[in-house]
Amino acid sequence: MVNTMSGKKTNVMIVDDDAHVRIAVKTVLSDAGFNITTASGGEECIQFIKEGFSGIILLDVMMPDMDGWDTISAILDQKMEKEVVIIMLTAKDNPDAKMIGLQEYVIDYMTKPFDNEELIERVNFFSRYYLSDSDNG
Amino acid sequence: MKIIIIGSSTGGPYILENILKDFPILKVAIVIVQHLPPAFNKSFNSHIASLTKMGVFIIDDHTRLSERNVYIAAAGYHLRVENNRVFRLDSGEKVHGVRPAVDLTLLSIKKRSEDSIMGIILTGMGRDGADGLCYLHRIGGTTIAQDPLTAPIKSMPQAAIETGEVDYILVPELIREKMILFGQ
Amino acid sequence: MNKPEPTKEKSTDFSMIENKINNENSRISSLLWLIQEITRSHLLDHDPEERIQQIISRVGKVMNIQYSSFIEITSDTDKVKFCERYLWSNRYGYLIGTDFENLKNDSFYHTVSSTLVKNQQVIVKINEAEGFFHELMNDRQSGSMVMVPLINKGSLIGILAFFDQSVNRNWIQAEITTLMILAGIIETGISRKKIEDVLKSSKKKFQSLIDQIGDMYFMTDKSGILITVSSSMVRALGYESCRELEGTSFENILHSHEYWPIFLSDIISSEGVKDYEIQLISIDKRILYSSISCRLIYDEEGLLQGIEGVIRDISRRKQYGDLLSDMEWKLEQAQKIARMGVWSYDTSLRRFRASPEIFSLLGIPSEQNVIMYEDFVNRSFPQDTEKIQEFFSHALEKGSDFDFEFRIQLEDNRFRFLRIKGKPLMKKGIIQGSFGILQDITERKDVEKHLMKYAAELEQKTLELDAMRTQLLDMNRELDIRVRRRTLQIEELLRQKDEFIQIIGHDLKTPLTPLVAILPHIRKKISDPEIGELLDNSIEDVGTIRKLVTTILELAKMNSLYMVSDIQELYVKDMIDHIISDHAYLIHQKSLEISTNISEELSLMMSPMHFETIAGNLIGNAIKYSYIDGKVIIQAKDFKDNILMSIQDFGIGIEKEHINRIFEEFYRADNSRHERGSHGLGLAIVKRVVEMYLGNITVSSEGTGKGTTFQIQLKKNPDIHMKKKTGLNDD
Repeated sequence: MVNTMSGKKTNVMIVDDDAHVRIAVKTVLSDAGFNITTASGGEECIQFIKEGFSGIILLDVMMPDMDGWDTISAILDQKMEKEVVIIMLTAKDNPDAKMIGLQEYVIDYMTKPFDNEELIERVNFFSRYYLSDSDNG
Repeated sequence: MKIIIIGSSTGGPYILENILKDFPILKVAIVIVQHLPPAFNKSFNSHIASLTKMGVFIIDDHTRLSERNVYIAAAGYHLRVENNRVFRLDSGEKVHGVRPAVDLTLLSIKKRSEDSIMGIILTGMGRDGADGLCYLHRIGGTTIAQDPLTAPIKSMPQAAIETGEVDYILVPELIREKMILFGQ
Repeated sequence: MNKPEPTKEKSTDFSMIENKINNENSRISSLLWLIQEITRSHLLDHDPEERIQQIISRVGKVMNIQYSSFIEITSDTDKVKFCERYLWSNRYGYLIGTDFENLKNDSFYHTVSSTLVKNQQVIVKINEAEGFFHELMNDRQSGSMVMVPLINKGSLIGILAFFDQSVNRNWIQAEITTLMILAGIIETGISRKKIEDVLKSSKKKFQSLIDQIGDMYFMTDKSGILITVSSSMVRALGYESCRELEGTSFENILHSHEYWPIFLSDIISSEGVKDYEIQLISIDKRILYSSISCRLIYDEEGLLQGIEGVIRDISRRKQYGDLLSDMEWKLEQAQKIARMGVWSYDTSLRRFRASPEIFSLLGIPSEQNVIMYEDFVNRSFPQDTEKIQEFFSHALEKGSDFDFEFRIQLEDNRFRFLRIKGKPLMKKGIIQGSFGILQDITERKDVEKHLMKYAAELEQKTLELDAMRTQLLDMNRELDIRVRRRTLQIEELLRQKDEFIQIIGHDLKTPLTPLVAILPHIRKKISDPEIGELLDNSIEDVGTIRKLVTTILELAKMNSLYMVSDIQELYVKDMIDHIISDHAYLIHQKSLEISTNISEELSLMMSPMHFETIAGNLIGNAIKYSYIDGKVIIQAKDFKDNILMSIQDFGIGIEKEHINRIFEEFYRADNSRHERGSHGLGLAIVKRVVEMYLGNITVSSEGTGKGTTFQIQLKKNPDIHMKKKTGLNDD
């Protein structure tokens, strides 16, 4: 279980409209030593980023109002894409047409339900390589 | 000259970890076109650099290809190769919604009797790379698509396979093997 | 001779005259002796030239003349040539004569010759002579000369000239007459020689002519011995030279020797024969079909001298003759078969000539053996009679082309359809009549009638068909529309289904996610074994649900008819053996060797129907595409969580260009094989099923005739796949 290079805790945000999913992810990942933020939808996510969140985002796709892609578009609008590494975590295993133009902002893709070990490993991996020290904390 | 061109999108970095982990120095020029936001170009570069002892560089306009190096496409620019020897960047329109599009890179490859080219398409959304791989195959290059079942997103490798011009459909470990064989 | 003594004075005159007479008498008698000699001898006939020389000299001597000569006169339109062939001088003997190129313009000569040509002598005294003759006489110091003519066919061909010294020489008539006779004799001799020469040359020409023609010329004596044969005859009979034939009997060259007396008597009785056909035989026993024309030749006394004739090789003619009669026969037969006859009509004689077929066509009874115009008219069907009378007679008279049909009435009211065609018969530009054919066209007419009927029926049917076709087109169009509509409906339904699946999937997976994540998490924190066990059960149950959800969703997404309901543990070896035995017949037929290399324990989780679809298709193909005495190798083994199976054949293989598309629906690598049941879907279905089980199938082939290998990778337990999706190995 590796945090960032500097040893600081990595920030991870889970964006999912289902509360139980949020709790599940939070539980598993905080146990693994990550700093978890939960957001119930796209707006909340943006809000957190605006307030300074920087780290890995686990983003659900199928959400009411703003879905995953809308959220990414919003992040781009805010020009805050630098701050976040986005991993999509979703029940959908085939991305739909909305992905066009936005796929490069999604660094990885996991389907639900996920295996705990796998999730932890991924988050570790990305935090090691793709989050600069300055992005942390 | 031996050249390997890899195209990947969502899920690519994770797969490339497996492919390039402890990759030996080979007399090949490896070009990686990964769909990434510009902000993560450097990180990706560092990531790849940490995996292999080959030289790893982000491509600049007019960078020359040479073997024993891994070249990372500059995010936000289309990458082309002149005469299979010189990289050219341009900020033209996005293709299939992406820039760089590995299709353009592959399509800029020339058939030269002294060159051996391999093209690999890994996980990703959309269908970038399918046309490029098809073209590469027709001019005599070796073409590989990642086994869709092992890809986080099946789309790109699936589209490539459907062109019928893919020589091998392989899991990441076997892709690695093929690359090493190619470079020897 | 007793000579009276003359008186002195008168006696001198008298003796002179007597001497003269005596001299003259002796001269004349000498000349007469000379004539007799000449005429007795035949030398003039054979060698007139020499004789003329001698005559000249003898006469010259006898007549005691200075010069005597024989002159040849040749005249044509623009010149008269004077050629002194022989000149005798009493004193010097033979001398060279004088020639003069052209006397045409010599008026003196004309005077002289005009007399000579009347067969009269000319005496010229020197003082009377002019021109050439004067010169000549002068040269010869001749006072007078006498010339006697040689006449042939009314023209002057030569002159005998005698030159005397004295101008007063008295030429006695008797002398002159003798000279005239001599000239005549010489002329005859010359003429005869000329005739003989002409005869000889004409004989030569005749001979060469005969030779050229190629006709064989021969002459025999009266007993049939060949005296002369032409070279063409020699060649034709295969001999080397005339000598081989000349002197032998004609009988020898006859094919049948027995025929000789008959042949001979034929010739003699008819004084010769014309176009008499006989067979000759060559030296190498070939038969020469020949035709002889010959005549008898008689000598001057009217006795039979021999036979002379020409022989012509008619073997080719004979060939043609045979061919011709053969062709004639064939023509006759053809006419019979075609129920056709040929006829000709002579306008002036108002007569028909007709081939036998005509008679039978017209129904003319056998007793009658001439055809008349009336036969056509009388035998015709009443309705056609007028037509015949109009056309036929008119055409025959005028000699024009015609072509019409008419009916001939037969017994019991039957009739026959005939067609008559005619063209004018021209000889030397004048119309002499007509000729043409008469043909029975009854059958054809029948056929025509039937054809017309069928054509009408066909017309009818075609119209009906057209109507049907229009109907069908309409129906088709309607169907098309319906199908399209239905397809759209189905597509919409499928889309809706997929959407539904997505939603259902999401809704199922959402609550499942926390369960899958939290339970193990909690489990880690539970130390109480009882609770731990309970939680383990829950985790297992959740696992089951997860499996089910995944499977169901996967299957529901597949737009195929395959419903999975019986996934069970299958033993690969058993399954393969079963499939092989299904193909036992074909295996036996082709004497194939099937080798399997599968462990008895090897098993996987799959619906038996699907396994059979996969393995059955591939094994079936391997067998189908193997050559006789071929081999199929089936292997299966464990490989981590997978089964790796390979089916290899050594049969027709797949070409490089096809191999990438082999799994496509409806793709058939070998489009020339229209096998029933081979719809090109086999491999596509196999691939679908393999993928359904999250497996992998690859194909490889070295090329045509080099066999094919299919390799299938299948998860032994498809649900375990979930963990391995990323391709990472378990440590």
